[in-house]
Amino acid sequence: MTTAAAHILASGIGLGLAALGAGIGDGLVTSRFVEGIARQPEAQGRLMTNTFISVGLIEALPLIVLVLVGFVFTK
Amino acid sequence: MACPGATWFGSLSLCSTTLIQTWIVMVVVAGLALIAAGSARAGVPGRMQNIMELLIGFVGGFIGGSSDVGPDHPARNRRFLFEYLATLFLFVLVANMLDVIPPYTAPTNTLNTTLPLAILTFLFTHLSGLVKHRSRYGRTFIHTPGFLGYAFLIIVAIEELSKPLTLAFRLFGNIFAGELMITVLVKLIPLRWFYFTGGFVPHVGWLLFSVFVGVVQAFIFMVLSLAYVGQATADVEPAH
Repeated sequence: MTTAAAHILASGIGLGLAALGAGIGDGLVTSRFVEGIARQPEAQGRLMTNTFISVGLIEALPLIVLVLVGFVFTK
Repeated sequence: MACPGATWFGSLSLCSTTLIQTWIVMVVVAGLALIAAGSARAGVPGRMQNIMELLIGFVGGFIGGSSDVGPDHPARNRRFLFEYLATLFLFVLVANMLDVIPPYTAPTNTLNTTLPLAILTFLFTHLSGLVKHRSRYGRTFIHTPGFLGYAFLIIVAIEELSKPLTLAFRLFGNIFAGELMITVLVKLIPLRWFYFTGGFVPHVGWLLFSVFVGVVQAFIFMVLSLAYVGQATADVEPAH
């Protein structure tokens, strides 16, 4: 296997794992959000703000991986 | 990441596109604020005043409702914090919005813009901590009594240094990935006849989503800055 092929393989596996983890995390946060609305519909505003913050924090991780992969891959 | 039309001065590079776009954002933010402030009146607010009051009131309400910055926070410090966070929020928001005007890209798509903003927050956090705790500020980093508290200082230092880094990488990564995705979509669906008969829908859809992501990321940048300042200025009992 050439070095370039190894780079592509490593980037693909790394990005896939990062997306997998972030997907699970987003699913956990959003399911609790929906449960919270079903239980207390009047708390929707506060819950939505906190959900956006959490989802934004979780979503950042695969994107950081994407940036790092880009740095490594273009070297 | 790499700027296409960079000018090199020895080891320093100047990216003219990012520079021009940052100046556009600065002019837009300052212009909006001046217009809104100039036409502000106490009666029924105009359109500009309404928009500005909505944005500023949102930031102000968030600081007031935050449990990190309690009511016993020094009022002068608090006003400065509000001004800093409102400016940060407006700048990042307008910078992310520049994506929708075709010849421009968001200036936040490079680390050269986001890292200075994050370092600014880092300096603001620790300066406000120093103003609050004076000479006792160093002791607030020791959470465990005895020798272990000093041993854990290494971990605390890594934690403190990773805060501005993740702050910068989060904003940069989100905006950069949004633009990268549009580039990839243009490669997947090229500009042929079928592009104009419905092939543009994924591009426009993704652009809408990245506008939404830009708003959320501007909000998150502001909220995390507020949380870091709140941590640094919180009343903590030293462990010894």
